[in-house]
Amino acid sequence: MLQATPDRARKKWILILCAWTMVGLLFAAQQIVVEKVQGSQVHWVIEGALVLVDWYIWAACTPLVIGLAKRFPLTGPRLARHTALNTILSLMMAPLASAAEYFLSLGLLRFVFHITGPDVLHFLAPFKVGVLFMSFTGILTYWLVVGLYQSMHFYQVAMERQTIAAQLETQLSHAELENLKSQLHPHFLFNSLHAIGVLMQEDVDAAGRLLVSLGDLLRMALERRENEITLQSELEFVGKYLEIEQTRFHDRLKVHMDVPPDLLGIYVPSLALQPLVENAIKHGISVDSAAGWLEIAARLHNGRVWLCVRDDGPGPAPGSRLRFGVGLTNVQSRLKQIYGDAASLELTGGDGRGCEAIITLPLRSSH
Amino acid sequence: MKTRVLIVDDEPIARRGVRRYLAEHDGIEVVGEAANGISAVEQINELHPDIVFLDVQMPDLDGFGVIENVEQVDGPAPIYIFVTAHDVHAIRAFEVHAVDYLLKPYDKERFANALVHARQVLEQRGKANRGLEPLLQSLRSLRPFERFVVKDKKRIFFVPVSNVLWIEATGNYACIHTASDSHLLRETLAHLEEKLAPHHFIRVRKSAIVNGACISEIRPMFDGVYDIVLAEGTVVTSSRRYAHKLRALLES
Repeated sequence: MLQATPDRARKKWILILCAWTMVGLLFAAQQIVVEKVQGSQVHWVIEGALVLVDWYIWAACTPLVIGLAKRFPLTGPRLARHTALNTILSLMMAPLASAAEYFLSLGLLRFVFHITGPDVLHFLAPFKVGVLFMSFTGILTYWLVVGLYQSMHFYQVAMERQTIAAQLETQLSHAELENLKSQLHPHFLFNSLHAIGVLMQEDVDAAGRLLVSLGDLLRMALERRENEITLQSELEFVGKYLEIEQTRFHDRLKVHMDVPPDLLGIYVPSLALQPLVENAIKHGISVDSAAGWLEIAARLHNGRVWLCVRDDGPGPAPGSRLRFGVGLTNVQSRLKQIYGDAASLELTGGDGRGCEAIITLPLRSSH
Repeated sequence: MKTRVLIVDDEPIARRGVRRYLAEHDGIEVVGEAANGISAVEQINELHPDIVFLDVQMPDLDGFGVIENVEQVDGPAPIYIFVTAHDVHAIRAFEVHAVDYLLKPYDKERFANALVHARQVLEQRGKANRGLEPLLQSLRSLRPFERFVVKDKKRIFFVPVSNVLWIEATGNYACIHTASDSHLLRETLAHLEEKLAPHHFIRVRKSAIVNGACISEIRPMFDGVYDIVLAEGTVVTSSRRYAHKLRALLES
């Protein structure tokens, strides 16, 4: 917002000074015009200077008031408390500012315009009356500054949101295509089509089943728009995907789902599990002809969701560093995008065999 | 004499498909099937097939890795028919080098064309056995080099580039050192230096390359010579001739 870089700070001060000069000139004009109409004698310069002194005191107070408005904003859950605080602060600041105005005006009259004694009363009300009078104006001024700051703040936030929304929109169309590609890798798609072609000559029914599964999967991928979907929908997608992989890898693949039914309604990022499953098949199961067991598990632990995909492939070589490929990197950045630092993806080797990919994320039961 | 064919694909259905299409041609003998790259290398070394149907994308060692790691023999090398589902780099390279390939899904006719062409090449092979080296070379520039393929007596395995601490030239071989092991590769250091450039490996003397990410200390000795201390304690001495490369690393 108001940042403290020297250039911006100077600009800020100039802006504050200009604004209060305008206000001061307006009030000076008001006083002068009224006195003129009443037919009394008008000392332009002196009266103008005195009015300006009043408002410049507020100019000097403005950064402080803005600071207080920032610290105790009139929004959010503590609205009542902050309103009370600002009220007290305004009631304290207004008399102080008024007293400062009085003494500065007095000094101005004495040292600049050489007016002393009873003549002072011509320009300046007695201390008590003056301070009391100006204090009421001061309270109003305090709240004016707070209100102005608040509305500028709202405006800025709204503009920022608008910019982000516009950026997101342009990214979206590109992302949609990328999304489809990441859900259904072209390699997977063409290999599946080829498998259908081969099966057609061996077992027409099996070819038909594979064709239907692939169609279902494609439809699901195309219809997906939300960032977060229920665990149930994600598991349905993964299930279709696995059905096809099972056909392609000759039913070697045994899948074990360990998901408590009451967790099916929780929200997870769309495409959170499928890349993990793909990864397990690609680097675990298809590498080793003895492997063929895949487990998908979900748990609730301390208010956090725990999702795990485990395989019984050869696992990482001992001592080697595990690195994320494109698929897992995508999952990681999606988690960051949706949950910030509240979610994580970890990949670890099992005990001597297999590999485990674990996502933890905050529990959400609705969007 | 029958044409001896090896089928390499990680998907059983795809292997069955090749078998089925091959059955429609005379004089073909399928000598084996491989479900992964390592098994393919072993079978090619052992069986010396005439034609290999080679799937490009396979987990771990892919089709190009297979060709790179097959033992060079005195006799003619097999004719490879590449098969791919979707690989933009590979397809571009095949086009550039006029190498036969099959795009999944393919049908009987395309399969027959590729097979007939391969058999023609096979007949004339005594005269012109065109190497695949240019193809592999252009693919190397497109794909990041991420691991060494090491061959023991009867085993092939991988060493990820990031696990290698330093490489030493010994005669015609290069010895790659990891924290726990050392392996011999039949490669020149110049060739390795070029391959490893994107991984911040640096040549520190004529006979040594060091993994920049594993350097823990550099001690100036005298006259542009440095002792490079690696993460696990090995000290590799640089030579003055390569000092500029070390300095470039320090400045980057």
